[in-house]
Amino acid sequence: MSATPASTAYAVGVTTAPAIEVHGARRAYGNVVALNDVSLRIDARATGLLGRNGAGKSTLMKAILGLVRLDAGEIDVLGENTRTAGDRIRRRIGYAPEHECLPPELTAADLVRHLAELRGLSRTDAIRRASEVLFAVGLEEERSRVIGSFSLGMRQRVKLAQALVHAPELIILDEPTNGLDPIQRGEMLEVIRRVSHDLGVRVLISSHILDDIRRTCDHVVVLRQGSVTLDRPLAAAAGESDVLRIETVEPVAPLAAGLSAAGLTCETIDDCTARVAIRSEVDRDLVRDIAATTGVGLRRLHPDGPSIEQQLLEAIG
Amino acid sequence: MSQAKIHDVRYRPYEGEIKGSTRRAVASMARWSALRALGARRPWTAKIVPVGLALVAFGPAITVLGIKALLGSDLSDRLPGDIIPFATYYQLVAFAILAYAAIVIPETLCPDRRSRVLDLYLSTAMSPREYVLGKVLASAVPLLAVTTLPLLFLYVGNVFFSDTPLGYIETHLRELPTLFIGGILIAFVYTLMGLTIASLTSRRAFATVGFVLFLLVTGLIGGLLRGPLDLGPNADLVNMQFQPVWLAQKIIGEAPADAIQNGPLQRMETPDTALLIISNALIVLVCVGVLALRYRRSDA
Repeated sequence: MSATPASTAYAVGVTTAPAIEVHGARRAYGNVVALNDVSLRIDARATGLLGRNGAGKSTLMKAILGLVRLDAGEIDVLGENTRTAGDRIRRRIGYAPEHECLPPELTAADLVRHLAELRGLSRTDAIRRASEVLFAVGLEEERSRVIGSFSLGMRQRVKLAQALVHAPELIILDEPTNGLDPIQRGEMLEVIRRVSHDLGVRVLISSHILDDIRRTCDHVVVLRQGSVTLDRPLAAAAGESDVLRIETVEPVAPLAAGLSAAGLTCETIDDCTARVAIRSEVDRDLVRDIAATTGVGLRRLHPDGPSIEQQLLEAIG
Repeated sequence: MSQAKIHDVRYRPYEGEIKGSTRRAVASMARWSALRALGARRPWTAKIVPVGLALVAFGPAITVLGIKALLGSDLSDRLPGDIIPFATYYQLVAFAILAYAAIVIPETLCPDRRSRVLDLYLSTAMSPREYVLGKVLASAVPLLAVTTLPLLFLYVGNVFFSDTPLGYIETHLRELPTLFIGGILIAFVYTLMGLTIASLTSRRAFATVGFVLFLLVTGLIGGLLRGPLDLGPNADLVNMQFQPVWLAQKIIGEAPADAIQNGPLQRMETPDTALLIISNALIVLVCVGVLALRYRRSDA
């Protein structure tokens, strides 16, 4: 890496440092505490920041970008501190704000190209990269249309494309499904999932919708009134279980015996009801398969007790 | 079940160099903003005002050179000096310059605030200072086309139609750099004034009206101080309409009295040169201060 006062070239590559480390972050606006001693470490491919409106998600994202000054605490992003290296960090990450922020008179290709140039790409590279990222987010056909003629879902994709154009190591998406109808929302979540898992870009996404996070993320951080109330992987961890309540048409005993034989902890409640602790989707499939093998008809299969979903809902408050 | 899988999403990690360069960011901001303000890649209606004003600025030069082309050497017998001396050219095109500053310059700034794209720009590594610098260039460089090119066109035309082209160049050589300096001064000061007023609102119409009102009100006050109150030409220092034009005229040099008397313009007494330099410097300082206040990272 070479450095001169007028022009600094930044190596493009994936750092080994954690994506984000927050240590005791605190930020208040008057009497309102937006972040209250937040500490967390984010390093999953896709991390969801979940919380109600006003929980502090946007403030935390802007603090990660170095756009909000903390009253106390430190944030390191990709191994660099936001207080001292805000510009360098912003060059290495992509950001899509929550609110409407696209000039309606520009075409999608022109805007993405312009933002690529602002982020330090040469004119030739900016043209090529704009084309690539618009293709990746599914806007290749519409790239020459002015943004003012786009639907909300397409504008959200343009925001995602501009965040990706300089091949950042991390992208931060603030409420990317806000205002989208169910079909657009599903498409957007699919694109985000592809970005994090197929394109290898780490993603931090905020939402107040639990389902959005479940469908796109591997890890979740829940904020409530500026404090972290939950910070965990979305998949059940080793040794951790969700409890399923099984209701059957025929007596449940053969199924319970089969599940016990397969190594699952199963408790019979009555003739046609049992509870089984599962650790993963494989265990869930096992319940279905053993029911089929033993010829026990399943009437209902649903979470029982404190599932991950319930934990999340409790944490959101 | 099909095992087909899409392997190519035509996206690959960028392997080129990313420059953390102020120059590249400013140049990109200036180019895109200038193109937008001049109506590039937009419907033809967006091009009418900037192109029309540029043509108006060239109008007197084209007229003068047209007359010279028609009358040829007969003209020198009738008019001892130039039809329009360089120093007074700005008085003829002041309307075009002010209209450009009032209408076109807000176009470079207001839409960014209105569509909130400014937040997006500042979330990149671009600093507010680089953003404003890009906007100054985006406004000032096209304005130079209005303040400098017509005079250079007239100069070249005068050389071409002169009976002794080399003699004309020899006589008017000193004026050539002053045309550049005067043009740049006018473009720069009006750009800053236009951008400063535009920075106070997100609506282009408000910025245009605000700029026009600002000039009218200060002009009216200047007129009152100078006319009814008879405070002399220095009272015009409160008049913001022509501060840079007057200074540019002083730089280019007063036109010969006989040329003025025989030409279409009357000489007007203007404030002292030293005071004009100070007042223009103050305008620049105030504008830079307001722009710095309006464009800073609000929180970090």
